[in-house]
Amino acid sequence: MNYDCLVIGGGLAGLTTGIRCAEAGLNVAVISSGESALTFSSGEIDVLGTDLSGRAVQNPFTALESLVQHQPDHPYAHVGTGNVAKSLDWFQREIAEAGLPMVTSGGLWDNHWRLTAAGALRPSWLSQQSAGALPWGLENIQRVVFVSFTGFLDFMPELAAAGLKTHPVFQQAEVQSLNIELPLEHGRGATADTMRAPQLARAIGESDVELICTRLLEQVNDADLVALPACLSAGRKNWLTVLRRRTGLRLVEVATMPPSVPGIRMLSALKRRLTAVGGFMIPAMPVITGDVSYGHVASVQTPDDELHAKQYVLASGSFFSKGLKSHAAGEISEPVFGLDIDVPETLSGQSFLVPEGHGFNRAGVRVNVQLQPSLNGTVIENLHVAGSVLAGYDPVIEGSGGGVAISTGWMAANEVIKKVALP
Amino acid sequence: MRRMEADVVVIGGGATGASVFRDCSLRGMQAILVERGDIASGTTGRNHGLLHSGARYAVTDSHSARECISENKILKQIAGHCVEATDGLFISLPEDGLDFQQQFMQGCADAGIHAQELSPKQALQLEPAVNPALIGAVRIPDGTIDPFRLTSATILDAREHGGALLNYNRAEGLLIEQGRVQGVRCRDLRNGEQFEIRCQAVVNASGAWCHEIMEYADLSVDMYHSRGALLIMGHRMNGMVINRCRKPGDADILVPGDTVSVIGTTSTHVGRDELETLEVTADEVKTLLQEGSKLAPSMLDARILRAYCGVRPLVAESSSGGDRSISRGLVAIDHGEQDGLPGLVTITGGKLMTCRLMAEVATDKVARLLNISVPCETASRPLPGAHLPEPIGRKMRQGQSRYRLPDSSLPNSIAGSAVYRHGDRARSFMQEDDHHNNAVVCECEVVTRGEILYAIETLNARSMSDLRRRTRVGMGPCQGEMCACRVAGLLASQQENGDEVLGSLQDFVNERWKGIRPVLWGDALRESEFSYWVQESLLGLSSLQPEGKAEDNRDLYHEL
Repeated sequence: MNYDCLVIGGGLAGLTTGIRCAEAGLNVAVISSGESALTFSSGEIDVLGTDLSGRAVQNPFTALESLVQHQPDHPYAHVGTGNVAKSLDWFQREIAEAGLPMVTSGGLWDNHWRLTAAGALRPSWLSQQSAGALPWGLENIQRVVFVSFTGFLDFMPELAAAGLKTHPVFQQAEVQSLNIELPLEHGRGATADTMRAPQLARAIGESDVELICTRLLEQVNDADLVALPACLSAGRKNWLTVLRRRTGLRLVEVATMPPSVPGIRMLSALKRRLTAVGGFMIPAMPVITGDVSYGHVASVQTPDDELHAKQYVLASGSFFSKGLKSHAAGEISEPVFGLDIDVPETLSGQSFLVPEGHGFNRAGVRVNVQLQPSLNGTVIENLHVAGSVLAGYDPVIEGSGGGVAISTGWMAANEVIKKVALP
Repeated sequence: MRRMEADVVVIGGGATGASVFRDCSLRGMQAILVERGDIASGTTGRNHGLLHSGARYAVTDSHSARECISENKILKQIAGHCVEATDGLFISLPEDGLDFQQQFMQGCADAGIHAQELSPKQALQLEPAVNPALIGAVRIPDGTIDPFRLTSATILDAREHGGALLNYNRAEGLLIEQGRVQGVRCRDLRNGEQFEIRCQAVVNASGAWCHEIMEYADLSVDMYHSRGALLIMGHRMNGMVINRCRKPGDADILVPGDTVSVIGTTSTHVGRDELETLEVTADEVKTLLQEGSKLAPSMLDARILRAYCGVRPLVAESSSGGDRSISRGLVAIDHGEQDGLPGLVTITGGKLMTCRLMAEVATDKVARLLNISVPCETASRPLPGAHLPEPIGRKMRQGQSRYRLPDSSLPNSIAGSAVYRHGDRARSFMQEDDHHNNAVVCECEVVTRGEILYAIETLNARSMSDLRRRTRVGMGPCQGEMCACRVAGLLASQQENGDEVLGSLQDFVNERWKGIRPVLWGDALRESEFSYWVQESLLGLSSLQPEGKAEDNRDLYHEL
């Protein structure tokens, strides 16, 4: 099999590239070694959450301009701010086509708040409808109730309530917690104690929803916001919609501890979309090495096979996904091709929870403005790089992980499409 | 100012202070233990967890060797659930030769330590992890001991005999009146409140910090603070303790413990001003791996979980001579006899192995002061949880464990872990058919909801790190990345003060990090990146700003 394009990595960046290439009529395959990091993500897309001084930003696209001026090696600088917006606009349409409409808050280009299971607020740009984007101004929310189901360990309403209380805006607000004991109609006798979120989602049935509805109306019917673990909108039916309609309350789902229902849902939607537009998925297959000579990738090897393509895109993720490898002597490498990489001087900070983040998040593959990497200084013409394997940005501290994955994946695809179209 | 009364105040909640607290309580004294942090949070929680047979000292220090083997036998009897009688090997490598082995066998015989010479083949059969290049081996009755569990059970016994534990309370001064020590001035570190405890005797059992308490009475001691660094491997590599058969040196003991193995130690002097800010250096990590892999070569391919170091409270030779010392290790000072200040006893030096003996010596001195003639019972009376049906010794090879909950249908993976940590007291929180409390909160160490709640209610755990020391929650391969928030949620459901819980969650995460940072490569970095995504990106922990965060009275350095 000789593909037009082989994408290494089946996460957000790799799937984005795959979908874009397939739509352009290319013969594209996405090869993936295991579950993507999306399965424990919030299932939201952030573009830029904080500015250079660490403050939360309301309009990420404006803040981008200043970011790329100060950090010319940032992946967003390579993509260009105009293209970042274009790629995200494209992504929003694609994911809707896949049956998972995602929304921004009131203003199309504005960030909103995502509520976390620890009661923190993180800036985000695109939300699944179940998460119910919280608008930038929060002052009208005076009574918040975190609700969970007795025994469920991956969303603790007491902790979330304590967390939200520390937020300046909510210090005067009433923030409470409530546990509802559910019979779990489809739980086959198991209780929520031993369930992770996806199992709980499947175990909830009509009678559970009745009970939740009654308890909400009895106990929290004057709440401005009710936050529940994200396991209601993904079951046999979208129970969240049912509950919203019946209670009239503002109900939002919060991503639980992993595995996360909204993260898995986004991953499934993207895989569905890839297949629908003619792309091909090669699951559970690691790429071990690549054969590069004279600035050209000739083939890549899996444990079983040698794969050939005209163009390759490396979207293999960061350390966790084994797109990057670190060694005892302190050096860091890209294990498939041995590409040239950038590593910050200091890999880690004294404390884990620090506003400036850690150097290891910024380590990665060095690329040129076309997102092409180099090997011992020689640019590789038919290889492009996307997503968190890239150097020069901190997805967590910047709140840019989703936007960088999508925009670099989209741009890598565009580069590939241009080249394949050439005679 | 609030005032309390007691017969004895013990300062320091390590293994030694806890043992004094227990001994005093068993002899009928009304005792209060004052500890500025949590129990076992100093040197006690930062060692190998080796249940010495004494063989290590057989050649160089026969007195310590005899003390060790005697206490070894006692601890197996009284603290069965804190101990694994794994036995140990002293291996000789080609570079060591076999000369030392002959002296070693003689030393063990002199000290009364049962030592059995093995062929290399026999040693490899017993312990497949051992370096196959070995040229000789001796089997001795080493084992492992969990210092947190030992301290916690000891304190529980004291409290069940009328003692009171004041953790997170600092002794800030001694009340000296009419030429004798009559009490302690304290501060509750959670609310800042000052109070006094009036008593007839004070025992200074603050270990590496004992000079600070002595300074309250203008006394001094010539401490020699010796720091030791250790590495925790990500899985249990060895069933038996593995030692080098040579004079004690760096990284020559590999101790299995629970689900991990620990290699150590190094030994370097530190100044007293450095006690609060110890960090394991890259050179120490290198030495530990280089030397340690000679004991068990598979160490080079294993994941390293974390690095930590502790400080041995040694007393310099010059000030430990004469009748103050009954051994080169243990130093007990009656300041009435030595300095003309009755009412104060200092117990320091020594080692985890001899904590019970140290307590006996110190409590004898206190009993004399108080005219109490009740004899010491600590050598024969089992600790809470140690009433186990079968003789000790984890039967690793046979694939069966003695850690079972009698008459229980619960899976042994869950019940066995609870019994392993709490002995027969596991019944206090583990009931049949209680799905809610038997739910597993920490998968790596199999800690249940019931165990967490038991530690909060019965074992004085107030913070996330306290819970880690009581239950091993967050000590396994994931270092708390999945369970930290679950545990914090349970803590939040039991405590009024949400800010305190959040503060302790942040402290817990930062404290785990300190131990990971010196070994941040390979899988440790992968796991850290995942933790970072979960805790910072998914949960946003650093953006939470709890008020009135518990006072950081010291920068807690690396911990087990």
